[in-house]
Amino acid sequence: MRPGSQNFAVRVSRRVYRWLLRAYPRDHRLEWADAMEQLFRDCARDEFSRAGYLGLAFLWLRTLRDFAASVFREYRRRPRRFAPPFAAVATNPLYNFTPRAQQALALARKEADRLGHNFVGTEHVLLGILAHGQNVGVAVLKNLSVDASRLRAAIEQRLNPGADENKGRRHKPFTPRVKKALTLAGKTATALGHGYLGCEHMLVGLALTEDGLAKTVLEEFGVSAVRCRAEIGKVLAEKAAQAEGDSPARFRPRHAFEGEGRCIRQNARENIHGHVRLRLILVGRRESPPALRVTFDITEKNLPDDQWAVIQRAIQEWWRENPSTFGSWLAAVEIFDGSWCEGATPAFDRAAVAALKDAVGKAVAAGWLSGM
Amino acid sequence: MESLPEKFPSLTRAQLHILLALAGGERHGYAIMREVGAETGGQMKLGPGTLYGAIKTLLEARFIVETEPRIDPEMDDERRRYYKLSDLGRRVLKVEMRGLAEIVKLGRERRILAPAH
Repeated sequence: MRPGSQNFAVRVSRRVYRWLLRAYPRDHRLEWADAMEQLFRDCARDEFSRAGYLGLAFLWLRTLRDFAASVFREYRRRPRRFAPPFAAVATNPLYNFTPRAQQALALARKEADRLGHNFVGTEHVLLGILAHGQNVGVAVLKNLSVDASRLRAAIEQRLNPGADENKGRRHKPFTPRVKKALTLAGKTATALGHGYLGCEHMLVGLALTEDGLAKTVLEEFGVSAVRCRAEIGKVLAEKAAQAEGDSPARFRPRHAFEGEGRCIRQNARENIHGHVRLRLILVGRRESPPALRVTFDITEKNLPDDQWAVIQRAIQEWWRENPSTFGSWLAAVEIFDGSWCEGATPAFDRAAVAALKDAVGKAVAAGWLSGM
Repeated sequence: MESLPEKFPSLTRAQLHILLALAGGERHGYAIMREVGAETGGQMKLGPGTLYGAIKTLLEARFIVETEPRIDPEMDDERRRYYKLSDLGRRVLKVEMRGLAEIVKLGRERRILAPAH
């Protein structure tokens, strides 16, 4: 037997099996396709070295029977009792969560994990918002003179630590109440005329959800949904006034991200390696010409200076091709630091990232963008 | 005698064999498959779909837990997902085995099986 042929037959089998895996339901595939492919590959390798092509043929017969039966079973599985897992909700474009809100939700899962709970409840979401720290939700609470650390303590006091075996479980479903809170948050955002769902809306949603632990604790601190909603307007107005003062070309981070759930997911995956993905998006007020998207990674080796040059070059090149509408462009910079990705250990310099963000802001303020 | 709470679904054969394989310690998917194959004398060959379908059900029922993915030094340098029996799973397995032992006893009494020595 030629040495190369083993690899070839096994490789082809594996590729065909990978293709077959598409038949499984999406959620099953996302979670298990890699493991199944790996298993099949191992089997194929073993069978081939044991009994050659005949062994491989028998393996295929067995596998096809298994395949048909298990695809059928997966589709017949009873629907989940809980809301869809985090990823399915957070990347659903209908929800249009802001990156910060997604990070807060991811932190909510981490809080649940830390406490050994196997679900994400309203209390964890509130803890997540507090743990995230830098969001309008926290600013609202601060304006309502709520001390974040005291609020945290009050929540944790009411929780019993769960079993250790729940730690590190991948599947931590949202409870029905969280789902309800997020739905209410979405409604709040719509009512306020916002095209996105941020931490501030989640806070209102939590304060609206009956029987939720978050609501009980918030009430204890004298925080009601009505007060939160009123405060959101003030906080956003303050921020807008600040931004006006800083830069003539306004910073409008959110709308650029509509419908980009997929990209955000991919970012998370890449962030496992500790990279920071920064994305600069220039979006026109008009639909055409297409928006410019610059995406690149910052690692410890990649200092902001080089990155800045990359942005500059990309923008210049792009502008040379589309010179006419530049005056009406807005800059949007968003930083994904991977903190919401489970198991990620962001190995980057936060100060460097902040400096970069600052530099972009200053360039906009100095008229560098509109002056070209 | 310990009894199973109502809400637990009864185990399928594949699930039972997986639990038995995991009773010997942490395993990854391929190791489970090989062990089940060896223990049943090649009678029970779990395919990827059946194996991971059963693992998924067992994880959801919390009979097993997933541990840190890591490399199996005996195989290659790919990371594999490992599973181990939870306390609940061990209890369920015990109850299930007792039930089976009862059935075997019945079979012996009725002279369907050869009596034990």
